[in-house]
Amino acid sequence: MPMLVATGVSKNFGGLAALRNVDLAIEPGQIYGLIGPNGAGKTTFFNLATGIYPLSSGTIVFEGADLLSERRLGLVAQRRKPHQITRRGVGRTFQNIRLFQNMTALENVIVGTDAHHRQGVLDAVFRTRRQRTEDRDGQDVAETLLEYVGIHRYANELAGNLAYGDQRRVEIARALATKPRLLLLDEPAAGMNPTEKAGLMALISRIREREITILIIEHDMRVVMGICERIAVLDYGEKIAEGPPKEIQRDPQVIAAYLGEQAAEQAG
Amino acid sequence: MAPDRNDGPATPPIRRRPPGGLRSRERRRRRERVRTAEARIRRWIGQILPEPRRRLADRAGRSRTWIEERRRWSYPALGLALIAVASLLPFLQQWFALPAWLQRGTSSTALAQWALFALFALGLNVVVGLAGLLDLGYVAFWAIGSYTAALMSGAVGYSRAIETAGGSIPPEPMWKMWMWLIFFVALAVAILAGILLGSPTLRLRGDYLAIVTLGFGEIIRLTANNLDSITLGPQGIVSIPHPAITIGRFSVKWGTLTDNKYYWLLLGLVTVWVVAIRLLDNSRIGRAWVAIREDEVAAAAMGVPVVRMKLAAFSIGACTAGVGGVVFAQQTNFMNPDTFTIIQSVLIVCMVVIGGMGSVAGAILGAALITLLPEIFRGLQDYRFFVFGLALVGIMVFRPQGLIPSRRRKAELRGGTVNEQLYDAARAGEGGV
Repeated sequence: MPMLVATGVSKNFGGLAALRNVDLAIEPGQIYGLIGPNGAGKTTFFNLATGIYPLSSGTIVFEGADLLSERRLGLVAQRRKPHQITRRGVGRTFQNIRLFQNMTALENVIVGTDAHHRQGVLDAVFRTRRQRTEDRDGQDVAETLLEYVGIHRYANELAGNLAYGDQRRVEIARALATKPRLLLLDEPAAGMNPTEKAGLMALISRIREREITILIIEHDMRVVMGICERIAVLDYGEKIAEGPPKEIQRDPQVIAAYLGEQAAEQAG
Repeated sequence: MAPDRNDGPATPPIRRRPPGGLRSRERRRRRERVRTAEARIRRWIGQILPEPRRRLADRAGRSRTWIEERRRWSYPALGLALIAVASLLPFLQQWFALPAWLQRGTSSTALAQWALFALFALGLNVVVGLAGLLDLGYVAFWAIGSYTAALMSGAVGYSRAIETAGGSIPPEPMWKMWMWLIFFVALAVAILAGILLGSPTLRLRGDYLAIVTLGFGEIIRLTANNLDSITLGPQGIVSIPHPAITIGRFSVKWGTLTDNKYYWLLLGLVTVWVVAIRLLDNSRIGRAWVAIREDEVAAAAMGVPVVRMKLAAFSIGACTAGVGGVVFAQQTNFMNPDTFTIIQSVLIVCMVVIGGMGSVAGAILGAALITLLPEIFRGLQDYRFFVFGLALVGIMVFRPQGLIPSRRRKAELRGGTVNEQLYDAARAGEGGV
């Protein structure tokens, strides 16, 4: 059974259709690529899948259950909030890094671990056992994760002070801290140099070994073709192709979408 | 400027299993935090002091470290010392011949007012400083606390009896002295009010929220003004009983307005609140607040329940004001809706901003400045609010981050920390700046 199934997903912003009838099915353990020219609707899909925007129509099913809404007390289906979706096991990073700039790298990751913590105001004020164990565990997990993504040296550095590539890694660590089973990476290689890109690809492969399914948006074809097992191509909000990398590279529609753009630029 | 001590490589790497287990990791972490704090202080001092005095400054930096290294007992000890000094303040004018302005500044009413507003500022600091929600109607929760106390004590009925009796004053009824009960009911009512106001409005951002809370503050005041049957409207409630607590054989009775015990009671509340807020700030709740302040969308995507965390901040602020309101009503003995005008909300916001948003010590200092300075400058008569206003403008121009800024807020105001030194290369030269 696929892990994530999107059926007929559409999103309109006023009169603009950002996504039209998109179907995707991601198998567990896959690294799935989502590519397409700028403005094709890739990030919109991420924002829909994490509950930041409401769907215009369609459904997204995660592990056999509706991801975006739930029925409370058997009543009308209610939209799930982004934090509830995160807790159900969908983590993400952002296209423009959105770390908490004035928290340290470590604190950023600890916020991620808090997704599954249950302590409330009273736990904090009375320093209950729950609060203490959760905070200790959170810190240990966060340190381990920072080490895992390879930036434990800068654990106590403010996130805003880190180099670009390192900030990306902190963001991935923060997303991993929410214990996702599906990780959405939005252009993780953007702005990285070739060495950093190679390191990132190695990191993504290692993440997959933790039995985390990965859906990745990426423009860098070397990265996409290097790690993805299956790729979907979006153009103007519609899925124009889907398949393994080899097929995608040869697909005439994909070539048209990419080269057609170039041709248009040359003509203009 | 030669580096006086080599700080070594920047940050020791975190190993998965450090030799010596968790404990040593904990110790290393603490040592490292101390070291960065020390470096920061030294760099700062190096910037403001000319060359020859550097040595002295270094020693000052190191003594701070000495305290920080022993924070487990040094912080509580410092706290206790501060409380002891603060609680002795009302005796100053008995022991020493103080100048008139200082006498006004340390009178028991002035001090009680300071402590009351310190409590309010602490509460609002949670809302504005920690959670980043601008609340311009904070006085509403103070009013709710005060009216709860007045209603529960039965003062309303007595006030009405006085009114209807005409000339003769009716005998005082048996006061209902459920001090504890009143406290907790006011706390609960204020929290409830906070949730009622917060749940529909906290989805708004920034300016919009400020306007809504502004309106809420006025709604509460106008309701109190027009709800004659319950609040006695603009003529107010008189004879609210002074508090009294009895625990077994031990009993305390508070006297009239100038009783020092009000100050001590409020000081005790302030202490409890300071500790509670520090603990909150260092928990998941506090982290969530910072995250929301920094980037709400990212916070939500990382599993932070945004609305619930804002609501928590809002109701913590509300219950603080509620508790303060109880003590206020019982101390002043009389109140009417005019007590709770919008200027009070604005003053409390000023205290938080002047002290430094998000800073606990700042809130207390801000409250001291705003309540005590007008007392002290009373000699200037009509100009005192002019001087006061001038002082506010001056502080905001020269120290926009507040007098005692919180570490994080300072960084936020600087607009990130982008031009700060980066990594090891810069770190190596840090000792000498």
